[in-house]
Amino acid sequence: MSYKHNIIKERFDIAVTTADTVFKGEFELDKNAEHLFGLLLTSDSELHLYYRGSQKIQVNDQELFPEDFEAKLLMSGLGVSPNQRVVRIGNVKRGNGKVEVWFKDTSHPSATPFTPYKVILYLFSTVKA
Amino acid sequence: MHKILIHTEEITANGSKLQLQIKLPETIEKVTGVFAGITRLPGVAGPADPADINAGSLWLRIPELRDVFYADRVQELNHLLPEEAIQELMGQAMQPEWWFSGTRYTFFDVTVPVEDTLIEGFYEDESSFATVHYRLNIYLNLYLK
Repeated sequence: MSYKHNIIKERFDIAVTTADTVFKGEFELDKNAEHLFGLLLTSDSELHLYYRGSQKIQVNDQELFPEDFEAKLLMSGLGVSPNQRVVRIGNVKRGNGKVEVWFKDTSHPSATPFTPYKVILYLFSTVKA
Repeated sequence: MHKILIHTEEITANGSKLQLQIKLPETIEKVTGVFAGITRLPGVAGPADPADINAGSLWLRIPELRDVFYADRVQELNHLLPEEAIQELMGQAMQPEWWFSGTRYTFFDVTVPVEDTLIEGFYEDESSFATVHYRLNIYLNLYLK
């Protein structure tokens, strides 16, 4: 069982600067991480992320979410209890620790005009025993 | 091993009825979750009443079992509060924001053992959009051998 004190919480940012473009982010998990078990997406402009965002996410060269997976499905608002905001993905081995994100911005009538925004990815891993 | 499969269809006419087939990977063992939603395409206005988020109905079935395992209304996901009354009350005082009303979407849990690698579906548009042009997204959570 994991407790908060043995969970590694990491934050990675991707800057979305132009509309209707794919941005790639490549990050590395903490070397003390053993299994990745959850993630969460937020933004400094949540409406843009909610309506315009979709992404593919790979960890250790294993596809977690396929291309066109909408960002809104990985977001949590204040209406969700803090302990339940993380999207659980099972226990994914750290392996080489490489996290790759292909974030795609797509125009949407409910989030126009486009303004640059930041996609913030939080990753939660269990620490090595 | 888990894998998420996304099947998309473009709906372009009011009252469209669509029969669809979703090919699954050869190594599939069972389907463990379903989620469906729509995304309006750029330049297309939404319904006159923003609380009217129903877009249509979707049925999914396994042909070998001749059985429907998923049937639900498909909605246009938006950031507004789910309760119409609260929404109206809030609307007068402030613009509703996503972080306030935000929920977390979860897959509808199912356990559907699959032998053939095909799912059949039927979708009917029931939206009240002035112009119908949107993408139907069906997410399937798969458990692979």
